[in-house]
Amino acid sequence: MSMLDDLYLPDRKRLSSMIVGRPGSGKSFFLEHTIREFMKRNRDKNFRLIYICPKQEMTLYPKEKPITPDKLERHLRKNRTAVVYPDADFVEAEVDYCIDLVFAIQQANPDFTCTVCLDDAQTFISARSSASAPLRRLALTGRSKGIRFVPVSHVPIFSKDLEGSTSYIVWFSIPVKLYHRDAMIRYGFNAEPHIEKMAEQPYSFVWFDVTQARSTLMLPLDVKGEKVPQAEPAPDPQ
Amino acid sequence: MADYSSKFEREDGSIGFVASDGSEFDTRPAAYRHSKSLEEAPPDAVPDSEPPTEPDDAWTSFDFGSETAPSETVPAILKRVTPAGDPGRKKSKRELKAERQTNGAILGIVYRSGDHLLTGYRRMMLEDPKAEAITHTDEDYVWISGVTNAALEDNGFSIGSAIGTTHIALVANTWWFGSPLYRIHQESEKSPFKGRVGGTVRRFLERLPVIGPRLRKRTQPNIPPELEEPVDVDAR
Repeated sequence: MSMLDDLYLPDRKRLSSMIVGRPGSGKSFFLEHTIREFMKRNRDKNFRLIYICPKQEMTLYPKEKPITPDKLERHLRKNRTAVVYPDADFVEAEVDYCIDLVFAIQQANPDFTCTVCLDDAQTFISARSSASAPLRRLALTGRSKGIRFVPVSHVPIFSKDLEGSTSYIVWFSIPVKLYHRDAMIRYGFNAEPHIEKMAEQPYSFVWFDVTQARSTLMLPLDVKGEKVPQAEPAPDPQ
Repeated sequence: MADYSSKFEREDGSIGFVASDGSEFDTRPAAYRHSKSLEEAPPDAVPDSEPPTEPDDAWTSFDFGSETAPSETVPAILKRVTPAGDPGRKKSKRELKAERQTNGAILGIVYRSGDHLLTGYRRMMLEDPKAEAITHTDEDYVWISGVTNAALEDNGFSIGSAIGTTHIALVANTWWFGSPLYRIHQESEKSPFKGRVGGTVRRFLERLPVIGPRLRKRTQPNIPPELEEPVDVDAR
């Protein structure tokens, strides 16, 4: 079992993975490369990965065109990955639609598994306001259906909906001490001992296993000389 | 203060001495010396049963896991085909074994291809494109290849000696490129002779002497000969 599986594999056992870090800390690079590598290694024809980018700025593959939520179902029939750009005026409603659609597809196809990466997740889930019903459904019941939730955000997400259903935290540099204290209280993760080391090594991060309460300092991803792969079409189910 | 040497009786009735750390010795001085050495040794020299733990701030690289298995494989039966040696020279036991293996591998390919053709024949006769394929177990292929090879050898014929490196390279390369191409077209459900590139390939093949007319015949509509004859209107 690799860290890629720990991060993205919807095996009906692992809970959500949370990726946090301030802007420019290496999150996008990390996501892009780990998702590509994961898709390269994962040959499950019933698996799909959806990346929802409310900021409408990121793609996983250079030639892969982002889609709008209304085209998601059709897109997933022939593609293994989908980058969804929701409408800026109806972000929440469109993200909810995507999640409901994924659950509906799963209901119609019991072998279907999916990983939903939600960028800027702090705008949808926070401690101050309750998350929408589809998001709660995703975070709380997705595991049993083979649908994994990977929130990505600039700040740690502190919500009761997520705190009990997170397996791993990938912690990039966040210099605000307030978050360190809260992460300790909510997840048992102490970022303080790693701050100096992380400052010495740009784009490094901490891998925190919430279940075992164990943190590991990770070097930046080494992807020198990597060829940029192309998005793969979904295999014919027959 | 711990006891440096304690006397005890073993199960077989012999006498032994236990040092302060519990280790057993045959003589009291040996147990005493061991206990004293433990006492005099610096605390960090005492062997620790637990492995040393890594400091928490050690850097680790991201574990991407192992690469997936290659999608294409060359069948083992094809790899067993090796070119025969010089025909004029007496062959060693090893060469004879290799030749027999090559013969078996070639015959195995022939019989597998035969099953493939029989499957096509069956589907054509039954007019059912999904009729069950004709296959045999690996043991059956080995058996039938062995039987045929034995008969051929009795008649002084060896397939392995008849083929050379060129033939083997030709078959190996055909498999190497043909197998994935065939699978691609099967999965995409697209003909290799249709479309922009495929059409060019087809037009090129249609100009070749042997297969060209056959390909052209396929594309042309099947018009009965009586309709092709010109009708003489004045004769009516």
